[in-house]
Amino acid sequence: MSPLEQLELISREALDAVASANTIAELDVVEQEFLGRSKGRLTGLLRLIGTLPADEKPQFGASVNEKKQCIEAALSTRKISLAQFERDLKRAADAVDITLPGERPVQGTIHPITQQIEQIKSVLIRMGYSFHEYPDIEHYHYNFETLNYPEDHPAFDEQMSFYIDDNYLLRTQTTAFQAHVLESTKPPVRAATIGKCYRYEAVDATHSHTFHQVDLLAIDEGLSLADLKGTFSYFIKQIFGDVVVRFRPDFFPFVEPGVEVAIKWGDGWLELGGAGMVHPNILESLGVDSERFTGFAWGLGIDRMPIAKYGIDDIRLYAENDLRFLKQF
Amino acid sequence: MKLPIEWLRTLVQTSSSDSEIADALTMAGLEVEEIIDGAFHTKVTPNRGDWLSIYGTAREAAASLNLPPPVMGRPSHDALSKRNSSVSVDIRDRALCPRYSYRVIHNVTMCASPRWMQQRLIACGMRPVNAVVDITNYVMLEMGQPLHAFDLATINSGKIIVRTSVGSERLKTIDGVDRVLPDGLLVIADPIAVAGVAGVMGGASTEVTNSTTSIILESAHFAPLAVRRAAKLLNLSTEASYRFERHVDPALVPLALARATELLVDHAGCEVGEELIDDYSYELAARKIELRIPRLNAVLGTNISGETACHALTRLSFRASHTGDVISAEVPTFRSDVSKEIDLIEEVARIVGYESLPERLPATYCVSNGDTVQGSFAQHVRQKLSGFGLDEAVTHSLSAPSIFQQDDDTVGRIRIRSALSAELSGLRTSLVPNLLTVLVHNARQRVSYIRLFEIGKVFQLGNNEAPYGERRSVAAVFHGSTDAGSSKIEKGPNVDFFYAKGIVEQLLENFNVEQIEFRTSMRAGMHAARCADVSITGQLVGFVAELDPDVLKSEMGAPNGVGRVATFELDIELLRAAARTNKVYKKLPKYPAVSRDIAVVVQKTLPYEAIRAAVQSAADPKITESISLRSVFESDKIGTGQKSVALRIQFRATDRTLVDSEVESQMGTVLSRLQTDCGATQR
Repeated sequence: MSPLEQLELISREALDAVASANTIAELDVVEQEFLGRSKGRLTGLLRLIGTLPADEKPQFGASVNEKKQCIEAALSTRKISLAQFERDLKRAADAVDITLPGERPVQGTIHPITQQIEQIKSVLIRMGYSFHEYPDIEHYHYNFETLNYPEDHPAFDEQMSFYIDDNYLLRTQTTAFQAHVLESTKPPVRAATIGKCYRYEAVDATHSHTFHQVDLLAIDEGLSLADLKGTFSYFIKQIFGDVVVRFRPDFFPFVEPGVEVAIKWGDGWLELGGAGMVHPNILESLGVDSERFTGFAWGLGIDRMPIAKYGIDDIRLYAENDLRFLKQF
Repeated sequence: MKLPIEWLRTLVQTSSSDSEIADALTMAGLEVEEIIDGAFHTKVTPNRGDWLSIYGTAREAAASLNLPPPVMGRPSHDALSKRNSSVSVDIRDRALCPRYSYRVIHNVTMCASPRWMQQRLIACGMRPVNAVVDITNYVMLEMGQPLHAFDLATINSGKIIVRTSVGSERLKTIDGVDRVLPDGLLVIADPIAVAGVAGVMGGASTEVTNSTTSIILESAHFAPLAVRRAAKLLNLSTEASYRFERHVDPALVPLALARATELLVDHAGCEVGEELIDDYSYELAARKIELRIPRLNAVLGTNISGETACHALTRLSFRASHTGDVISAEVPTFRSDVSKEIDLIEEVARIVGYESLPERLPATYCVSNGDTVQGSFAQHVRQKLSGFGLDEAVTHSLSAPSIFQQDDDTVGRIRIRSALSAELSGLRTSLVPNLLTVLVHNARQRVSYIRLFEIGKVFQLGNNEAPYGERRSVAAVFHGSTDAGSSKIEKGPNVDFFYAKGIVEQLLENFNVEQIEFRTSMRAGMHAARCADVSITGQLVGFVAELDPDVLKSEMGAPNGVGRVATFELDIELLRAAARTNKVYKKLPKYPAVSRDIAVVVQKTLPYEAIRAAVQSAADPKITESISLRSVFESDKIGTGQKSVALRIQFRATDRTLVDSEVESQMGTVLSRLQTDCGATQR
């Protein structure tokens, strides 16, 4: 065989070997076999160059190089496709059932009452009200006397109280904060408080001896019932979105005109609490000129709000703290 | 109050539907809560005694529907008898009994009242008895004035004395109860004995019976406070006392008597025996109040004219007239609740209608100081704990005494006076007992992993200056283990003391609290060997513990198979005081750290803290970055009474890369200190 015939044969074999190599490792062997620097078969052909006539030498050298480049190109192409194939195999071996559940972070929940309280706080703070805090064990003076309760009036019957001694009781309404605030702040006042209140009530789906209330007090020059209505409507919109609000007359010793506030709920009304213009007697008794300053106040039950929001049908669930309940919020 | 609508409609001529009338009343302040079986169920506010009758309710309905006020027919038999009364009255306390009227009626026979009357009584929730009793009740429902009939024959000497009780007098009331009357109650008596408690209930001995032939029919005005006091002291609330407490129009006194007389003659065959005596010593002058129109509009935010306001008051039976900007209004006698200008403003607003009053936001705005410091700190703690995966519970402050505390006096539990039940007998001194109740509830529902916390007030007796103390506390309870649910782990480890301690440590670290100490302690209901007090800079702030397993089962009723339950409680206000919120940035290290582990065998009883402290004292603080626990274990190989403790010490210098020889020399010092201070041997 002439060197040229040998070149043809070896390069055909080389291209076949490249095509039939199935792994990168096999391909490396093929590369060594044909293109290895010292023992490569194609490289070896260059040694035959000396046996050729001088005029054929350049031609043969060029042919060997051409074939070499051809084989190198085939090797490289094959290498890329084999590398891709091997990566694919590795990934396939690492496959998971993506329908298995994910690993969840453990997440704690905040009690629905607290969530409601925090929402109310943020809305009222945005509206310019500062929060205050006073004891649950309140003096009779603040819970009733300063709130314009007539002596021994049937109004007390609506608030059967937990007395601790002759003077102290568990506050029946956070409204007890009014005199505390006015003793330490001169008008204008924008104050609010949130806390537990206590009244003797038989516990059932809609009543409890303990409930949460938010009280608000605004005293300034020029405040009117229109401002109360507007403030309440704005507040309720922040809490409930678009709901119909109802204002109707009601009686609370500490306000006049007295207002009951309710929102449309199903076919009826959900009463949220009492409101009204601060009674001039209260302002005067705390040294505020009731001709110059007027004010409004409200006290709303908080426990009812999640009822309206989520359709909770039994307020005993709040104190029971069943995790299947708590985890829903 | 239950009011039959057909009865109400005899006084309110309107084509409005029942629900329209109900709405009008509700929007005027007299809430109609329900309409059942043709009757309105109204919720009368305590200031409006005048709404406790058909007539009063009809009057309000007419005013709110803009109809003329209802008129009661004039009684027809009023003037029939000119015979002098055979009974006299002696009112000895005119402050408590400003008006007393009565009449002697003869020829009383005990027949039944007419059917229509019985039906109305039943519709109002009353039980028909006989014509005399029914007619007194009927007039009370119709007009609001309670009446009482005494058997004339039982009143000694024909003399009625209105006085206060004295010397623990006894009276058997018509409900059959023998009562000792506290001194000072207003009573109706004859010269010998008490015949009834004024405005509350009559006596059994003077009651109308089947053999009664003549009666003294009483209609009087008693001071609301006197009746309320009597009803409370006797623990006896009646239809009469309920009305008197809320004020009955004194002008009704003779009218109701005349009305009852008429009904007794017409429907019970009675004979008007004697003249009507009406003893009152005070002038029933109407109160006059002025209403300034500018003030009205300032309070309501309106632009109501004097005419409109005047008309509104007239509709409510006020006699109102206005000159310039001022309305002068005469208050009707049935409105004891109206005494000031502001009361008139509410009346005008009611008639104009709250719904049609304008709405706006206040013209001025104040900058808020935000939440209270206590409130916002509590919210921080809440967010941290829920972030750690704990669920928040909210429980009642009122609770029964707990086995997880010592006796009331030791812990200063605040008790409720004359409590109705153990659950409502006092205030909690700790949050843990309630949380345990919640935990047991959830364990019974087969919740396998429970981590609950609460932030709330706890209460304790104080001192003379502040007799009752309240503090905010944060507590948590833990039980069970992480459930299956991950594709990798079947079940996490069960919670124990260290789980609770870890939460406490993490929480305190979050608030940069320093100088925290845990010290072995004993607490009621807690595991005797797994309980620690927590203190910050030497001040006790709370505890971490596991529950005593026996107590949990026997006292809490925990279900069988409940494993370890861990808990902690911290005083959140002390925590707030110790919290450092101003953080200072530390530069990131430039040079690498070197870690070395050291394992030693020590006596089992030696606390880890002693070992850690020995290491800390030995290692050069300039290059010692951290000391942490790697492992603790006991085994036969190590020997009984011994344990192996492995620590990791991390060294780093701020100005160079540490060389091996430096670190080795540190480790040598540490080991020899452990040998001398802790009796340790290297493993």
